[in-house]
Amino acid sequence: MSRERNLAKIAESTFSKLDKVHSEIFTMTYGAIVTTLVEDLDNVDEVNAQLDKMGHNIGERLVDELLAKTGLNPQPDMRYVMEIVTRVGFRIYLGITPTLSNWNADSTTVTLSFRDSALSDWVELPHTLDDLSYFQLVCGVIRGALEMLGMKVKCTITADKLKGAQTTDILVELQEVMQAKFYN
Amino acid sequence: MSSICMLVIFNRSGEPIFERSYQWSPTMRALLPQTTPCLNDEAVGLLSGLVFSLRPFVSKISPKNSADSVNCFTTEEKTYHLLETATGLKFIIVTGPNVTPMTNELQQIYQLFASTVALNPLNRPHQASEDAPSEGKADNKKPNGQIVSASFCTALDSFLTRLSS
Repeated sequence: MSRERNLAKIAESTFSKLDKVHSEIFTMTYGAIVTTLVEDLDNVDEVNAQLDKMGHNIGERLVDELLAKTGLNPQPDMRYVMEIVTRVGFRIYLGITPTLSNWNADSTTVTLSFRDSALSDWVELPHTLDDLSYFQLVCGVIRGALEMLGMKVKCTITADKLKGAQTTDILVELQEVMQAKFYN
Repeated sequence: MSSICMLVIFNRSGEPIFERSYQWSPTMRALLPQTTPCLNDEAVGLLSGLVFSLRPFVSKISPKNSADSVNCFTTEEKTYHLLETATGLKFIIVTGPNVTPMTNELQQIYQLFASTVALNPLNRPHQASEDAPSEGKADNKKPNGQIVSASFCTALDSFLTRLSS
């Protein structure tokens, strides 16, 4: 419990130091990006792939900012890292704290549930875009950030609020802990 | 603390991605970047290997299960201050021998790095060299993902000068 409270405290003090934008601007910008991608690319799978790639690139940069500003230095331990991701990462960058549930026995898979999020306010998906995963960018961010910490993960959206579910759920599966290799 | 002589940054796989040597100038009361490096390329390579294998060594000999880390080590002439981030970056400051460990200062340099390099769209993330070897420029000696940010250098120079004076 104290570890969680400690992380929450770190998140609050870091959050107060960061530059902020109105969530409306953020929502609109993200919506505009997705809309442009849908217009520019022919099929929805490609849009999902692009969002995932963009997220991956964002994630591998954000992780350094987060670690530098919070002073955290975690080992590749899935439970602790996922607590940092939810309690610190999502808190300081999106202002939300998703809940972690359904840990499996050896702590390699977990589900993140988002009740509400600035990304999906006022968003309605037309039926022609049933295959679009609007949250794919978030999956990419998690994947990119954890990759930099030496953990290769797979993120899948298992439930989507925009498609009628209660919460948006992302399933994170640890595939391997990567050992750094010396370049010579 | 006017004896700072060099800052080196290694990426996850031990390649040097940033080197900058300094010398204290008493007349200008500032730490000036030097073109002749404090450690030559071979020494930097050896340092990289040493730092790379320190971590597994330390965690093997540590009685606790949690990962321990080395903050600094000293030779007769130099002290090497280390910071290894969870993302595998290694920041190393080389100073004269009688300097207390600069852990906080390294963390502040990491913050400078985060705001001027990691979030800078012109710099590719530091693992890029593994993924995209084909994009190597004409200069083959240097790995990809070299830090070329002028604002990082400026911020670093003034930060280290403030420490020294």
